[in-house]
Amino acid sequence: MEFHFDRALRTLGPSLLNGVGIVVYITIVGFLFALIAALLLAIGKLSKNKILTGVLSVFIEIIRGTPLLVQFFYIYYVIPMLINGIAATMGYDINVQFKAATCGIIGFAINYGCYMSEVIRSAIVSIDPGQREAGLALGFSETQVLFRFIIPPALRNSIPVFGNYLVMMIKDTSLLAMIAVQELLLRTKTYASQTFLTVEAYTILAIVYLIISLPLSQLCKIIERRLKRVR
Amino acid sequence: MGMLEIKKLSKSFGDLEVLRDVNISVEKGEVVVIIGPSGSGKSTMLRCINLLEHPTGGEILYQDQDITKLGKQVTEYRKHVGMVFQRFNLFPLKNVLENIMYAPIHLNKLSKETAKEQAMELLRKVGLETKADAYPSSLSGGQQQRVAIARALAMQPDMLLFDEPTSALDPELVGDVLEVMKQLANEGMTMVVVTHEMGFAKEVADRVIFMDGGYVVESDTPAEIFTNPKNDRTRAFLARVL
Repeated sequence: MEFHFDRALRTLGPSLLNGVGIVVYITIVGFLFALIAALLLAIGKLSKNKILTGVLSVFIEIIRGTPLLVQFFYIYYVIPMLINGIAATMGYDINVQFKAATCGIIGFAINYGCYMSEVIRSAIVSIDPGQREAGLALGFSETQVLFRFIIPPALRNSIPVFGNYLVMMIKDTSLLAMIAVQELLLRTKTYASQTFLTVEAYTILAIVYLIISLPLSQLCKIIERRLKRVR
Repeated sequence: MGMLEIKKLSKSFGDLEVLRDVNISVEKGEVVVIIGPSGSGKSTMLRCINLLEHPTGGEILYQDQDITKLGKQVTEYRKHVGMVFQRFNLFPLKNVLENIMYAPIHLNKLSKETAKEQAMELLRKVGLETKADAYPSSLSGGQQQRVAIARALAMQPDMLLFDEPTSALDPELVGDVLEVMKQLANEGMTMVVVTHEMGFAKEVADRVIFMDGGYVVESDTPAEIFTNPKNDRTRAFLARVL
């Protein structure tokens, strides 16, 4: 068996570099939206409104109980179909379509938002109730106390877990190959089927993922240690 | 008419009656020390005064206004009533100075400079001016509690509530905190103190209130309470703790 890693690297490499750009873009934007969604969901679930918490719980369970890949398919194929169908019955002729990368971002925001909301919620619950009482006793309102004295330390305590989710999200972008986002896996698959350099192509792909995720998880560990030291 | 009038105050948690028919009056400048066995309701009573617990019945008149009916306005009232907690409850991500300055800046709209000046002055008062930049976690319990007192004072309250301020401290650290409290009392601060420090009650209190089973059992000058208690339960309690 003969390998041609140098040739594969030369011809696949530039394409993968473009793919890395797309992966980084989707991950950063998706993660930011996921954080916002997570915070909103967490605050919503702590509300005293039983209907709101009930609806949110069901929603979170649905998202956590179905695979991320299925959710991508649903957002990419089903949602536009539903929108267009409903519009058609109301007499509008529209043709809504989402860009695949946009679907990726939406899917990540919702899926990771649900998982991370549980992280934030438990971090909020585990903040010493004395912090709330101290804030109230000084004359802050319940809402001010939540946003000034409860959420900031809760988010800070969640950072190490967020780091893990970030690394997971980078790897999960490979699922987007299935809805034709030109990320790393799809580029490699296309390349391998054209050149038959299957072993080389997928090995390089794996290494590229490692090059991105290993330093990032190291960085997370360093941040985690530093956070522990300061407090 | 006192600055604070507690009338027929009751508080239940479910079926558990913690306070029954509590009547207390606090004059301006008075130091009232509340003693009693654990579970007697004294902490709950104190927490009712700034509505960290909402009473089940009765009235709490502060300058002739019933604060139990304040609704959202309660935040305004709380600015005038400082509280010091058993477990200090400093903000762990803020340093000592920020802990003290935060509420005056954000609630009283003090400028940063004024707030800082005031905070440094308060730190000198509690003997911790060298710790301005330290974080709470690096301070001893006694130091944290003195910062907490400075934090409460920074809002320039009319009255201070102390909820067992020395109960979480190592014995050798209690003295510094009590010293600061004594100084405040001498300056005329109105104080309601729940404590197990009988020495402090004897020396500093204008009035000592003995609570048991959710009732005010006896209320008198420290001299009377400690040398000539009228109630059997007071006598039995003092016999155990003195």
